[in-house]
Amino acid sequence: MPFVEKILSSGTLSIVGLEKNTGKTECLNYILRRLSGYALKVGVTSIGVDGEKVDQVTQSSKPEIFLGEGILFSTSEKHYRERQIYSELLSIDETQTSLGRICTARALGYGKVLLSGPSQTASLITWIKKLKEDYSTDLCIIDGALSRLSLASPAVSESMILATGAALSSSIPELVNKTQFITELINIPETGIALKFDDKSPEKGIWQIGKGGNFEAPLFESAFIHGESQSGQINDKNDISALFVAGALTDRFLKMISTEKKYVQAEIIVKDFTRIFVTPATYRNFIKKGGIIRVLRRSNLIAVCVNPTAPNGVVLNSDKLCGALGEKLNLPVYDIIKNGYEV
Amino acid sequence: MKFRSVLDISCGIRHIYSQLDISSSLSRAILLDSDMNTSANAIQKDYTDIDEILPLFNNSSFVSAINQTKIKLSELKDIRNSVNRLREGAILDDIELFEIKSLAIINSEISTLLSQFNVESFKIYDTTQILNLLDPDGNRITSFYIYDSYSPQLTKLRRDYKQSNYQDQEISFEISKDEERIREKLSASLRDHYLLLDNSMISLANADILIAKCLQIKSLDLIVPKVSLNEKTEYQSLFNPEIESILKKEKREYQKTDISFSSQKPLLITGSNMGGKTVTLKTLALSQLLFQFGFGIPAKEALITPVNEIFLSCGDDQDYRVGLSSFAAEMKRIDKMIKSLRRGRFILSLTDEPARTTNPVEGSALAESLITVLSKYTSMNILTTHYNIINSQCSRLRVKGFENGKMNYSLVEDTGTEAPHEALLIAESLDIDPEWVELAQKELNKRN
Repeated sequence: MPFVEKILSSGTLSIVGLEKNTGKTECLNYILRRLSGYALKVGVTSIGVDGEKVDQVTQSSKPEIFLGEGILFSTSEKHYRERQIYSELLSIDETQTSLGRICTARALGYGKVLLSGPSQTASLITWIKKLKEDYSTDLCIIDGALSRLSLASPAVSESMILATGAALSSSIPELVNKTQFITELINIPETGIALKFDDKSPEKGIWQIGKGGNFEAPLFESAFIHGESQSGQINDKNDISALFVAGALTDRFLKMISTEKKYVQAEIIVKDFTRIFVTPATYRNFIKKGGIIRVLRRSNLIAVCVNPTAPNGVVLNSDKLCGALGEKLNLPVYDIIKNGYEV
Repeated sequence: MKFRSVLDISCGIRHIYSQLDISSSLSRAILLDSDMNTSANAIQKDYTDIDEILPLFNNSSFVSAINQTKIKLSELKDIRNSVNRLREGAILDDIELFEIKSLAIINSEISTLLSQFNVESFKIYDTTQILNLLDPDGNRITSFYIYDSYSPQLTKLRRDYKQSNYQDQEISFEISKDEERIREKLSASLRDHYLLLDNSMISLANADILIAKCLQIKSLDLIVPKVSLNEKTEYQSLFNPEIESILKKEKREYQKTDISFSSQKPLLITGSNMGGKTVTLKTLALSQLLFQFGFGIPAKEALITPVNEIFLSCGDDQDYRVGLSSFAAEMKRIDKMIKSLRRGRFILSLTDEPARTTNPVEGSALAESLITVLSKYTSMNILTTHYNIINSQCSRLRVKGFENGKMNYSLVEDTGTEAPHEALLIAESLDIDPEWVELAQKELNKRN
């Protein structure tokens, strides 16, 4: 499988599922297993409770996370106590989570552990920094939880693997459609405009960007408070080349902007794909009308993994699914379990 | 009284606390939980410690050792629960053993850093025995697991398990049994040292607090006071650090004041509005609290008498939650103070304008009689007022007041019984509606 090689070149990897039970853990186990063949220092954690035997939401059986010798892992105090692995405790964080403080340890043998690491994006960034600086880890892997995408933000991890499957939808066309939309967002190109950030760079609101990339005036103080009446704030200068959305890009804003002649030509820049909260219809409509959306930083999507089995018993045809997805996504798609990549 | 509970007294003590550079959360918890010193000996001991350390800050190698110590202290954790469990006979798990090892390592590192300065105030214990138990290989690294060197049998089992490709459940079970046996043995050996563990943890926290107090004395320009044994308190150039920092931001200067009082007679402070009477009372409360918790004092010189209790009655913080008006709340507060006196406690009472929220006839009668009540007891009692008080059982100070259009906040001895009449002058200087002030002046002339 080629995608493991691609992982080697990135320092941080997140595994994100579009739904629960889309095979994230299988995927993680597969990667960890494969990486053991390389001389690489690997650290792993999870943003939720992962690696439990029985899914806490749907009560279906779930695989456990297996770690080999030398892998660093971070998990809560509770799960560190319950580990079934021979390991050396390296540090305990001060910050409390619902399952206790976060313990970081090194596996000294092969065994199983439940991962429940830092749950906020900010603490994840600190975690990565700590592993890289204090323990010179080459690759940090973050296992996602539920359908949270925020950890896949390029601000957190350099590259990502997307897990999708029958749990997201039981119809192949709909499943393909939903997955395709997310990959479309992930693959939005980076902007060509060099934004001039300085100390006072906006943390919120929508800003008009001049030709030189400098921040002109704010169009709205926040993406949530705009309405018809405020469109008067739009300045009449013709040198606006782009709109920078510091927070979330919403349906309402896209709809409003597509009726504003002055801005049809302007590029809309968001920080990264995790800031886009629009429905597929609105998004595609906007693009069809000639609208341009760009990101400041693009995520590096390495591969898509599928799990054709859903917790409600639906089993899709794996080959058909992989084929349909691969064709639409133009990306490698793998069904890790079926293809017997031993984990 | 615990330090935690005095933080809510509105005299600026929270400001002092927030400026205290404590490294460890354990030290913070211990400070918040500490009781107020009431004996001269205990207070003197705190200041003797500070006196020993303060001069060392002129030595650059001491300063750098302190900076490194503070970094180590930031890793000090509150493991009182684990130590308690140990004492009660529990078998500790890897996380707890790790924490004890971390404590022992921090302790020995700090001991190395500070030993050359021979500071008696820092009591650093020797935890080598504990460290040897938890670090059999002598690596002195903050990490822990059940090391192979604890048992040759465990080493063999682990090797066999690895050879079985981590598949042999029988060996895995044997390993966990052996590990548990080692934990039990370790816990039993550590149990002999639980007191040492507890003491070294608390001593490190106390050193942290002591260092923070010394650093604060330097940064806020505070002093070490003298403990008064003759029931007389004297301040020279007393100031309120919180108000000073606010004024500094507005590029204004704080006028420091001198004040002295004793337990013989209540002290009555009169003066015009905006004369700093309330600030003086709050600063006196602040300094007394800082004194009894062993902090630096915001003054140029200070001689302070220890008291059993401190009462500050200030402003009109009416307690609407229990349905008390500002008058009722104040009466209750003062009543509590009198009750404490009647119980024979030696207190510092600071009462700002007693009974000011009621009519002047009854108000001045209440203030007048309060002085009579207070003068019956030997305690440190200070009041301020706008009423004309003729009571002779108190000594008097007056705020100098308006001089050449500027407020002079200094306190001078006063012999008259008439409170100063400067309200209209001050209203004028505040640009208050001229018609109103003018009419008030006319009204005043009419009455006179």
